[in-house]
Amino acid sequence: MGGARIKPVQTCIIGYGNRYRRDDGIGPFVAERLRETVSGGIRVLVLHQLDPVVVEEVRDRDLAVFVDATEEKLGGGTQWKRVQPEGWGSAYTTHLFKPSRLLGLLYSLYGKVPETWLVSVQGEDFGHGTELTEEAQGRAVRATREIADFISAKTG
Amino acid sequence: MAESIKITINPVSRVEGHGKVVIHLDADGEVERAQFHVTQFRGYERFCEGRPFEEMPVITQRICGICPVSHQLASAKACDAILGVEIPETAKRLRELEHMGQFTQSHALHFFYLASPDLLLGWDADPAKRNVIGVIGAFPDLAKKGIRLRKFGQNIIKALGGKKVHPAFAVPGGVMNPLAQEDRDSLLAGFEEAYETAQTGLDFIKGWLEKNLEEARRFATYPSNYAGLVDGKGCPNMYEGTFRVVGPDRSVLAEFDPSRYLDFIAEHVEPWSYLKFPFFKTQGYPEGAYRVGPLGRVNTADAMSTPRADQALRAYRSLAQDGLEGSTLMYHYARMIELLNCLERAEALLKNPGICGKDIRITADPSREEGVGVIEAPRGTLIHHYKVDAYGAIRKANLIVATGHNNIAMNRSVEAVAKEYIHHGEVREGLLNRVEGAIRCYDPCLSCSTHALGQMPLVIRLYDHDGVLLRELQRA
Repeated sequence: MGGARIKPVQTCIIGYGNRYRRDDGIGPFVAERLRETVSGGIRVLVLHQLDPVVVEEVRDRDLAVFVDATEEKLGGGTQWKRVQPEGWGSAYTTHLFKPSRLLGLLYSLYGKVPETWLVSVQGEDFGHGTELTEEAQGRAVRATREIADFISAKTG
Repeated sequence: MAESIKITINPVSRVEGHGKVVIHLDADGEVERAQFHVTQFRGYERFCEGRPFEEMPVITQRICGICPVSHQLASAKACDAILGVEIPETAKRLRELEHMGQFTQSHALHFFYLASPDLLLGWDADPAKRNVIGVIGAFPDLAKKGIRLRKFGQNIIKALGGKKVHPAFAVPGGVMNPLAQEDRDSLLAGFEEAYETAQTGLDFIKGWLEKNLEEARRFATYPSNYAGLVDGKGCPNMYEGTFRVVGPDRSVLAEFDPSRYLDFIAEHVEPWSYLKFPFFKTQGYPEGAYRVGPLGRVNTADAMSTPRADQALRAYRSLAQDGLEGSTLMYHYARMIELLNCLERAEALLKNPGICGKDIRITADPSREEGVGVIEAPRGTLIHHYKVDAYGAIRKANLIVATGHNNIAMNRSVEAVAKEYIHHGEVREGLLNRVEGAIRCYDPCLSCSTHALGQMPLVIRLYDHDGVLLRELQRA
């Protein structure tokens, strides 16, 4: 988890996913817990999915952390990835709006982007239901701690 | 040409949901008829049966991800009727405010994301670029305004219902919570920019129509009836009013309490579509077709209820007289007038001294076995009609949505464009884009779950009368 040694004062945490599809709700689960623990200058959003309007929430931030569930098998259950702006390619639907494309849109509109990270958390069951699986919940709790520590280190 | 052929456009992009278009040609290669197929089946009316009526505002708003507020409000109004109550004034104002937020975000979404690529980049621009991303590249300031205006509308909804999509707010008998003073103040601070953006949209579409007058005159232009809710002064009212149907010359054909809709409106069924075809009973099917939504409301109106929108209406009427009466492209102009109107209404509601009042809900037991809730959704008139048993469980639900009201009109618009672009079996360049554009004017909401940005592949298939594929045109 390298990244520039800046001292961002304006941070945005965005947890997104479908809470009615079990572990797809990891992002909202993490964001809601962070909302209870983080303080001053940190904007926390809980979203079903990303949408172009989200650029307005991120554009004035120095640091953005997206949290999403993944079906990918990850060693340790979580993965941090620095996000760079991406063009649209052949994507045609906002249902495929991912953080890199959001940054691409943000850059097109405002000419700058914040330092952005995507924290992927491995899920197990994406079927109908509102409860996270036990494994996913454990990973989500760990991811919550990691993000809180990361932001704390960044903001001093 | 000796045999009839069939052209299929599938899927239709940048509309909410999935549909396809089939155009049938006669033996001379001229357009015989056009059909806009809705290929999805939702089944909400049936699976509402047996549920407690109080659940309807929550269940039915899930029909739609763009206009859940409209379904929630129409449903809550139907439930109010079952309870037999008049909700408190503050609750009514708050519901209307939520609805104005809904109109703002929905109209901004449609105009700036879905319709503007055709208008700004041109009908015949590369489809890979003729989408909102193309608009962002070419007109970043306009795109920014559109995104911010949509956010403003969503903020109104969120301030009331806790979230931007599928808010928990309207309930039978009123609303769930009052408006906080700080939210009121914060929202009021956003109007200056919102008006500026709405005016930008209005000026743009007026200028575009003036510049492209010839095309606009020909574009899916045909005389039709129009319909929508109006208040006592004949102004469109998105929350309540009487249902007015006017003819092509805007003379009033009928005006009635919308709870009596079954006396005036019937629904025709065609075997090739899951969407029904409502029509004005007096004129029969299909002559009794009417158009709802922005064009329907604005053409039904005697005036607009707010000053800026009323001024815009006068300019609209003046342009309409220049051969644009009945032009489907006028939907976009009407939509921008409504955007101004809704912003003005929202501001007036927020400035009402009682808007943060705490008297927001009446509780009561069901006193009637039937309730009808009618509202103007962004895309047009929305009817929720429930019948309940002695325990308040839904026995029957009938929902007529805006896209249903416009079903015949959309078919006619497609046919009108096709007749312009197909002769002797030859399909002129640009047909696909314009057929899609005609449908898009109505902003149809077919499933409300897909927000396409315009790069879906389009296919025209030509069949002979035996169903044999003659040729296929496909967008790269």
